Amino acid sequence: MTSGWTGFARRFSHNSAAMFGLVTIVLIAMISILANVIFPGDPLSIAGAPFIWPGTESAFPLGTDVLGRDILTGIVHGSRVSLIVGLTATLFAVLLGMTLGALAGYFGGWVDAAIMRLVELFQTMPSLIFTIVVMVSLTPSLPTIVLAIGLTSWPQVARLVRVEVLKLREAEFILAAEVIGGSNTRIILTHLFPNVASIVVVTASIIAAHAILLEAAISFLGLGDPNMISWGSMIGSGKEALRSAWYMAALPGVAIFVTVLSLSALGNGLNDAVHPHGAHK
Amino acid sequence: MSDRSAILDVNGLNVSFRSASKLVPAVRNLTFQLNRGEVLAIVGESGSGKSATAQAIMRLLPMPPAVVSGGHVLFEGDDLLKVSEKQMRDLRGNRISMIFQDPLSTLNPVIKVGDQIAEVFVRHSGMDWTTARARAIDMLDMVRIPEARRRAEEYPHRFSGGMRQRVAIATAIATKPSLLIADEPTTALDVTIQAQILELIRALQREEGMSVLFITHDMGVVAEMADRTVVMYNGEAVEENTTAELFATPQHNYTRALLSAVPRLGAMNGRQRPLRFPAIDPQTWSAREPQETPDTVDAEGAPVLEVRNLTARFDIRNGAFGGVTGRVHAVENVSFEIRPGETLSLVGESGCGKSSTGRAIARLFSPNSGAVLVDGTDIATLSGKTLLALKRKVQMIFQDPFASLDPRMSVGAAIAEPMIVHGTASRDEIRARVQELLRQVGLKPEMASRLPHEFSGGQRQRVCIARALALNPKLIVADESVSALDVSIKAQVINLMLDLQASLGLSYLFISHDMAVVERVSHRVAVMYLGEIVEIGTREAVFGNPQHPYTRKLLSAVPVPDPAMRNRPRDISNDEVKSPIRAVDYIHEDRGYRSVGNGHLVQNWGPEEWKAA
Repeated sequence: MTSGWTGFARRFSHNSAAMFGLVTIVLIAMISILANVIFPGDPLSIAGAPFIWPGTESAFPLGTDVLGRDILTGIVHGSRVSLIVGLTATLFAVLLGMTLGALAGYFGGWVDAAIMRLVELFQTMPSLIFTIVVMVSLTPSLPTIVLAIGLTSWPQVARLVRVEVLKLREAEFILAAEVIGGSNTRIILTHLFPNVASIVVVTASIIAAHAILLEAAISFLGLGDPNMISWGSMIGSGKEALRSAWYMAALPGVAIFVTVLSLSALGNGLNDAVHPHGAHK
Repeated sequence: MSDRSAILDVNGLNVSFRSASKLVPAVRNLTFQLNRGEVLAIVGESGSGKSATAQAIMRLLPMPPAVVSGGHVLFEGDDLLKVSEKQMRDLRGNRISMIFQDPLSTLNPVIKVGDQIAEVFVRHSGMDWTTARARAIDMLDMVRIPEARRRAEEYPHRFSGGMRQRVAIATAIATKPSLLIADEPTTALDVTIQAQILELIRALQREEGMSVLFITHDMGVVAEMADRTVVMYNGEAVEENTTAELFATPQHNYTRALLSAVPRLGAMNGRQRPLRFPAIDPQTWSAREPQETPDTVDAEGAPVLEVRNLTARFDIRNGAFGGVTGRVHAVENVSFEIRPGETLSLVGESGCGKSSTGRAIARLFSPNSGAVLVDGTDIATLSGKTLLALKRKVQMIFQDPFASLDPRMSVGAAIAEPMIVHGTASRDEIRARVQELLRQVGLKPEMASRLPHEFSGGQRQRVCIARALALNPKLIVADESVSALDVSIKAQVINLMLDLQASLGLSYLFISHDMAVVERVSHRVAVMYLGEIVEIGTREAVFGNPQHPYTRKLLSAVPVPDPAMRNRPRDISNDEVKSPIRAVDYIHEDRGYRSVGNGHLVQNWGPEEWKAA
């Protein structure tokens, strides 16, 4: 992994948007890990008078919401839900998508046909509606959101991995592994997965951004876990005062915007670093 | 036509490519002249800068990475490096045309062939479409495409590779250019088709009085085509001379080395055993005479491989319900055997079934019927543990050294993989064996931790050979294993394979389309055509006394690297290679073989197929 990795690292670090994305995501992750240290206590409890505008009282730099809860504390604690959902739902989607996609591409025939019909089944359902249905029919909790979002996101990973595996399937190094006598499991795990991983990582960052948006939408509609504060639920509760105190919805909105933008920039940067344009000799 | 003034005058051309932070020179201070009505070849191995030269003349180089500095390229008095992009567009495809290696990608798949040629007339000669279409049909006639009027209405996918290259040539010469640049135009084609295309370019060059700049890596093609030749090495012209002089008295050591590495058909007359290529010192390019290979064949021993009546067919499914609409008769009733230490070559053109035969023997797929006996056990019907054990005895080397190694796996891990899969050795034993194998194939043991992209094509092929040797196989199936390599590297890899045969007693099934290489390495040869073996026998018998008309046709189509032989009488018809795709109800007819003596068998043939018998 010597010179392949350094080339990748050089291309990535020369991309300023990607570096911005990476730094921001790391910052947000640190904030969410340290949330209880920075702002101990329940972010859902009332901290002061309601409708304090940002910048007017030093105790509440970002103001308070309709019930008098501190918005800065809310945003810091809310990052946890966003990141956990983004991370675990993506992991779920990637594991499921890679496995099914690789099986479909490698074995072809009826295995491929069956898996692809399943992919189409999930892809034809609008992801927000599907997630809402899952949330309404099961208990509204964090694992349910993760499950629902994961279930709507794996088909794009599966499609991508299948196409890559179809291309690699006829590559001579895969044939060579077969001539040696390598089992199907061995070929998939040691030869196919490492060669599709870089492309999957790129998609994963896009899926994570999408998952954060979906979670925000669910919480905004009030279908999320009522005991956990999230950026979506903050916008939801702020919408009642949108005309008199727009900052209540806007501030967590900015948090979502920055996070999703960073993830997209990260994804684009990874993509460019994995597929350098015309740089091969 | 006999006008000796230069049509193209290249002087001090420099081309570099910007990579990361430094400039890598591709062409250095190149100077040559191409006279009117002359064919000039630029010959060189990969990385010599020959293609970059052609692209610089046509101004087709992608300009951010490429930098053209200094020098001039005068074409009929205009400096092509200085004219405006608009002037260049008017010259390109009009006064200067180009044909490329890959006829698949030069034609637009959604436009009728006739219209693609007509477009040139409309654009450059201002004709209306009706006249242009009529002229297009004339052009198709001119490049000897049968039934031109009907074929003009068809789309490119209905044309074979050779036919597409004819269409590409028709498009290129439609405007009667004074200069035609041909960049490896026959490299992707079968040898009989290559002979046709070369013949065509030569005839058109004479008829039209064109000047041709011919870019190639193949000394045989140079000898067939060029009046004068420029030899390029590492971006520089190392030698320039008339082709006859260059072949007769090469001045530069590199030219001499290149010529000595070129396999020549007929060079093996009077020899029985395979012959190594002369070893070449890369510093001085001096060549040492090849030593004789020892006799490796164990004629008394039981055959390592016995193939009996092997048949493989692939269904072609089409239509909405995936019904079988036809079958590729890839391998049809093929039988042969290989003795210990023997090399049997399978030769033939694309689609003849030679690769399918090799893959069936390596059990990459299961054949429809027939037996593949390795050391007396039929592996075509085995599965599971017993199959795995027998797989050790048969290993394979593939064609493309850039695709046959996992790009994310170190070469040491790649060589170790067969031993890990078969669990034949402990960790330490495997590490020691990897080092030993690397040494055996002429690489350094400390290279084990490197990734494939750090190696050159020839080195990668050595790694693939090491991987194939890891399990001490008895037979190696080499499927076009040296076809993608440059001549000098090809010679080295073949020498390595011959040395390994001598030291390890290996048998090879050598699959190739390159008759000259086959003549050099084989003990016995089988010629395949449309899935069947049409002739099999000792190398001496098949090359010295070919019986089947197809074998003769194949041998006469091979370019001879000797300009003096250019006008030899040859049997070049404009036939296409036939397709092995048959209707579902096709019943194969068994023609039977007759013996010419000493194990030399020839398939009987019908007069309707082969007029010249």
